[in-house]
Amino acid sequence: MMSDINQVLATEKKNKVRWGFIWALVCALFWGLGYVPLNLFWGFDPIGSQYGIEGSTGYIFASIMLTAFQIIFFGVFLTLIWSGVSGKLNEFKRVILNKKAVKWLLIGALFGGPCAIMGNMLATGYIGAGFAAGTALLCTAVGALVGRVMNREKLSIKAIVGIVVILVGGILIVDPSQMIADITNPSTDGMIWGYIGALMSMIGWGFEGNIAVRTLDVTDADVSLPVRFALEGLVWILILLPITTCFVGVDTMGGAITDSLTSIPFVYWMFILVLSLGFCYAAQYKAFPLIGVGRTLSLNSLYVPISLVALFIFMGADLGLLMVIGTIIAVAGVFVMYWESDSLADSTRGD
Amino acid sequence: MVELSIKSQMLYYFKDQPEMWENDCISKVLERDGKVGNNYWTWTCRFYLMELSTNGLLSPMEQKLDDSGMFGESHSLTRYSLTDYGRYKIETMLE
Repeated sequence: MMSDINQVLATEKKNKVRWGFIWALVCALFWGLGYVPLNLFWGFDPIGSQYGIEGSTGYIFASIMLTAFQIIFFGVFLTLIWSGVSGKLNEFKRVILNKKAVKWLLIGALFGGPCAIMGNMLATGYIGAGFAAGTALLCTAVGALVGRVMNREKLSIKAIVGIVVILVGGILIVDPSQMIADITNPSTDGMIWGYIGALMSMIGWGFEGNIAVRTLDVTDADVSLPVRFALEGLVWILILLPITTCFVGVDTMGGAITDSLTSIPFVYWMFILVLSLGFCYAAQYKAFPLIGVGRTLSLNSLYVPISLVALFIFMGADLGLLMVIGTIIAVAGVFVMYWESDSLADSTRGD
Repeated sequence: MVELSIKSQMLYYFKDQPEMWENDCISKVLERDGKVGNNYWTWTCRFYLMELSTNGLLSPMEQKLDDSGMFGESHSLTRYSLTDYGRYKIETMLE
């Protein structure tokens, strides 16, 4: 009997590990490929060329619109497709009516959307998708430090070493000498917004994870993620887009919205973006309980090299040597930080 | 009070009964939602318990072969207990 249970447990563990790795790698793949449509938007009408080229701050409006569309499309399609197909629309209703759950999802979303996703858009628009993908990896270090303070998460010696390695990689990705040259050179006026955007994405995602986890701990991610995007979508529609309209005028805002929604390429690529970057979130949360949070995050960090390869193949992106080396070092830092070998169902929380 | 989602409700059951076999917990919540015998939700609930355990809200105490017939003889059953962190989450998020 004892050998029976041991055999069953061994088989179950093998299945858990196999599916955990599959979900984590699917997440990394979708996440990495998501940077291709993200980069594409800057190259065609209406947002990238029509509304994003005037002056050094021209990309800010384009970034706002792309972020808003991304969130609203996420909210609508993740809600309708993901929750609906998985038979969880009733669960969606239960979570969105739970005030405490909604409060933390909304606060997390404000860090995630207007700060992190918007920052990532600015970094993509002003500097490039490869840079945006690489610097976003630094949110892992910010997230670990915030998690230590907010959620009493473990911060072992390995984690601290990992953070230091990630920061070294981050410094190479950002390339301080190039950054100073970009900021001080009058001909590249406005590039500072790309660096500010990168900082926003690091801080935003670092905080979002730690805040949203309060709700995600007790709800199904298949439901709470669509709720999070639906709520943020409402914030964009009711608050942030009207505020933006005050600055750019009704004509520009109205034109940007109608031109975008009537552009078949725009809607098509936005849908692809939702399927890639949206679905990677869902895959990530499937992997967490199967192989542990640490291994999932380590494997997920492979999204950066995947995105660099995808950008090189599909977009012909020019990737600097320092960026590639920095990215490899930062990914190695994530593995040092999170990869545990002693348990396959590790908990993130300390005693 | 708003009806709790299935995963939240499963955690909440541990407040009154801090140790429970997973089949007992799953049976309770499926009965509440009228989903008894629904294969998809039975396995989804098992996944929820694994998530709660991975996130440190529940702790696995003991495992045995499934003698309840819920998952079949070729699968295990786990007895979970509520952790201090799980109790904290119930008090701060579910009440």
